Amino acid sequence: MPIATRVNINWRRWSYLFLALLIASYVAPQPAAQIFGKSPRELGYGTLGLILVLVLMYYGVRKRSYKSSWGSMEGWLQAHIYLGLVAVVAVLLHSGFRFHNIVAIAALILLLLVALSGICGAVLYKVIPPKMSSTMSNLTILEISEQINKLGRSMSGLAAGKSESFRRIHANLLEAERAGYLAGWRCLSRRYLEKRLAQDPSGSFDRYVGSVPVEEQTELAQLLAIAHQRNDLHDGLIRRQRHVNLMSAWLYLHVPLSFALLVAVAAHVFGFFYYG
Amino acid sequence: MSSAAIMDSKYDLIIVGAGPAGLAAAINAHQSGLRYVLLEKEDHIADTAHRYQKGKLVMAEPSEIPLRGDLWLQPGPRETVLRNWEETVRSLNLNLLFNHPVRNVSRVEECFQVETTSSSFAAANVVLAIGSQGNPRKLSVPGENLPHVSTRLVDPAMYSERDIVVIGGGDSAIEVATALAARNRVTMAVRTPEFIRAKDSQERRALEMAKRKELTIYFNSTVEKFERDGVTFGFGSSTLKIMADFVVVKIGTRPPRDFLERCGVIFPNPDPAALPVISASYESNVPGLYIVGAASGRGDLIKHGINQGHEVVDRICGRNVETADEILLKDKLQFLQGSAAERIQQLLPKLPLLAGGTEMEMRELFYAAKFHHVAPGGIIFRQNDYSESLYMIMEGTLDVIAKLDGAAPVPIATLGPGEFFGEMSLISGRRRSATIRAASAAFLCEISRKPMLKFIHTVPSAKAIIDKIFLVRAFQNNLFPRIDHAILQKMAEHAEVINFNRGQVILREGEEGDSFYLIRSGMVKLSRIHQNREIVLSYLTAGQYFGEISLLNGGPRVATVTTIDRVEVIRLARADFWACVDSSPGLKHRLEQEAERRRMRFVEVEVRPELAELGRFMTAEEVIVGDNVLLIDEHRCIDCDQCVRACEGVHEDGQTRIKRTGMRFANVLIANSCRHCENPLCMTDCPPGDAIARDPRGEVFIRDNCIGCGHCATNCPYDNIFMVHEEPRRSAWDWFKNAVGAGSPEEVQTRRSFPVKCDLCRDLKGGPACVRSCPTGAVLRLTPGEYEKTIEDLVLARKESL
Repeated sequence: MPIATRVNINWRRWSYLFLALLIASYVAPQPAAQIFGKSPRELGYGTLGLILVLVLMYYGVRKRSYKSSWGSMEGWLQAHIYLGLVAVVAVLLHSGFRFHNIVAIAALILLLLVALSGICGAVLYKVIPPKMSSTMSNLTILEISEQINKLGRSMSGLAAGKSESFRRIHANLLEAERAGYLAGWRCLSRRYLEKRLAQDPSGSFDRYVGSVPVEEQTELAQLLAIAHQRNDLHDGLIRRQRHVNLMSAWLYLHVPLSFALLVAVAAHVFGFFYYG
Repeated sequence: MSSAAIMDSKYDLIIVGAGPAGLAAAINAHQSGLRYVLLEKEDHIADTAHRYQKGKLVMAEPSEIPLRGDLWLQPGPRETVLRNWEETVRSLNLNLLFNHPVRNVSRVEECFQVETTSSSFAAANVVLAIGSQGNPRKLSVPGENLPHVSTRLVDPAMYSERDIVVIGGGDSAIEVATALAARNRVTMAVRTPEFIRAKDSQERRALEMAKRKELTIYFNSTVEKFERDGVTFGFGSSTLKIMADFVVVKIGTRPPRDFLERCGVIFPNPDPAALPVISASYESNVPGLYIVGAASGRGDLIKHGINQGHEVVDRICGRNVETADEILLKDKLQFLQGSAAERIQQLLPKLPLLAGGTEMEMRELFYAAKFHHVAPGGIIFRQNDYSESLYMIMEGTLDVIAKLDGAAPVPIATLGPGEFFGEMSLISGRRRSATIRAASAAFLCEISRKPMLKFIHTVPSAKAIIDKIFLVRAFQNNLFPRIDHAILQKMAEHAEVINFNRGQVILREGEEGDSFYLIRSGMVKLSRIHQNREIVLSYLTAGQYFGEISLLNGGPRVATVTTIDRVEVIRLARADFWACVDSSPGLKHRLEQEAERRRMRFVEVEVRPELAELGRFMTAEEVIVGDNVLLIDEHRCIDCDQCVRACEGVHEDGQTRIKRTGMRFANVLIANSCRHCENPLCMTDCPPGDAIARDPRGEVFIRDNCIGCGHCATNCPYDNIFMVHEEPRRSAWDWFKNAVGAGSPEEVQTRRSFPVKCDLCRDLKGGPACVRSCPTGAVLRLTPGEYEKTIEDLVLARKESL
């Protein structure tokens, strides 16, 4: 049974209603010989689309107005999603499904991309959290990182003053766990994730035992044990960070495209008033 | 030196003891132009404060009393207080002689002769401000004078990885032991079977550290001898030697009665606790000999000592000034005439609850008193409000109105002059159980919780009156609203009040049921053994009852009842229970309905293991003691941290009051944020007294007079109060300057740490910012009635989605 939401307005139902009204108004007969995109009805759709785009952009402002009591963010996000879909339909109806103006086409394409990226985001927000909660520990990502660093310091402490071969093993173990260039993006790829999770640089003690002096072998075993713990923590961190990154990667597309859309819309509106 | 010679070099005033009382007297004498000398036995001022451990907090209670004179006093670390006092001595160039311990004070003709170990002084008047800390008690066992055995701890930071033994069971001993335990192996030895003198918060701190094995405590232990490497204790017939590099003995001090008696001061009786006989102007039976501060027994707080030291010099100079609290009390009792003591006496016939207190106790109580005139129909407080004062009726009548079982409010009693109300919330700390409305014009005296509780625990007659009335009203409000008062009184006489510690079993499943229980304070859990596992069926809080099922059906107990925290219950034996049920129409039916509801719930929990596990979790993690708990549904949480950023954004200090860590149950996270507990442990040890307080709506919040001592953070068992440094708000220009390396290091000031905790955004419209700012609705703030159902639904929704 779903928990009762604190959102007072059911945006999904209202958006269905708006869509129904829009479509009904579109199929209703209209006077002939109107210039497409510029009939009163189509201008009305365009105006509605413009207002909706501005309201949708205001989401970013409201999100950062922490003291505001103008609705909850949950309501704002639902409004953002559903009114976004209404905005796409309104703009399509505004175009009359005829595409000749390059600025208008650009604005429409940007709108469609923004909407598509938004839909991806909404789906990710629905799908990822339940997967993420199964990998949760009682530590935050920062706390896990601090634990990993602490273990790294313990490894360095063990390696200090040891033979060249010991220190080389230590350096290799640390290097193997290094995140690497653009690791945050690369971990989005399942193949990368599986490759990372499969590796365990500590390996077995037998692999290294011959390369260090006898008097250092006890500490070598300790070093490998710590490296193994560190690897386990790293695996958990990567899984968790991947989920977090999946839920924010789409924003790198959605937000810049939104600003680009705003510019395109402004140019389109300016063009309409300037050129008539 | 002849009397004549002494008289020739006579001072107007000799002050003995350079503690706060003596310093205040010296400052006033200096400013009044008297010829005076201040004699101090040590080589430093304020020896008692000097002996406090490093960093110990000095308080400035009572806050209601103004501070007289120019000796600085604000709550803060001991070092700050001592530094200010030393600076005052230097700047005023007070006539202070160190290393002059006074051996005797005697009256020679018309003046006093004061003899120290090296000199003799004469004066027309002598003020003894010698405190009560000068003579540490001795154990009188071998080895007590070994160099590693001491009565004081200078600086806990000096000790690391040592074996240390602390002897004593009071607040000082616990403070020393807990300060050292962080970095040493500390053992406490307490002579008594438990801590009996320590404050609740101190006792709790020590016991929790012992539970976590950070501290070892031996009760019922007596010291037999000290040796160079350890201490030998006796436990009945056996002995035990504990290794010790350092021993701190904190068993209190002897008052200076012997010295005072040698000076000719009279005590009323041989009782060691008796106070010297002094007048209202601090003069003893020896004319010209005055006693102020802790030595008088009436000035054990520093502020009292300072005020008395200042006032005694005014008296000596012939300035007839009133004491600091006299003015305050007269102002409070302005509707009466005479001195403060006379006005209090005039009040007593109208306030029979206070009749057993001494004058000092009542003066302290009235510091915090407020008087209210209430018009007919006026509401004093409403049912479910959070307020904890006790009210006494001086004039008028009031109606007690309560809503029971969700029905419409009904009047259940009328109170008149001489009676009191509000004691149930005072004792249990819970919300008000009824609404009080003035039936006629009324005049009330209100006393806030802390001073009233202190009075009740100090004055046995007051405690007895409160206990008796509490019983009657507990039955009346919770069970028998329409029963005859005489029957209730009789029931109260047969009822027994029993205290249980945390984790104790009150009754067991399967036992014969012979009693009915009403919870007076605390919480209990009800559990059963099902398939060899304990299943938590439910929990109950103050005002609720248990034990009725087996009394109604005659069978054995259907569940085990165990305390979750300290609990006080009122027990009625079977015969008395039935006598009351038979006298109260409709009660049997109500009890049977509730019993049936409980039986259904027990069955439901037994067949659904996730509910049983939830019950166990809620009680084990003490979620249920919170009045408003923050939950995060991790099936909706997208890890955006918007809740944390919103919390930082709405608070001026830029610090978050929530952390997305905590205990988990399935997909529900009980996040680290204040739970606004029903019985807030954070409030128990606040030096200013009210820096952490509770709003009538229930929010626990921190006021501006917080001094940053961190006691609240230490006392919170859930780590939900965070000690932070203030983050200065940086403008865009500051950011730019730092980016180009032009930020000035001199702008970085020393930032003190202070506690922050969730206050439910009490000053913001719309409620908690964390809840409002969550884009997916994952953050929830729930009240006790919502916990179980909501968490059940969240967990079930998870199961369905899987």
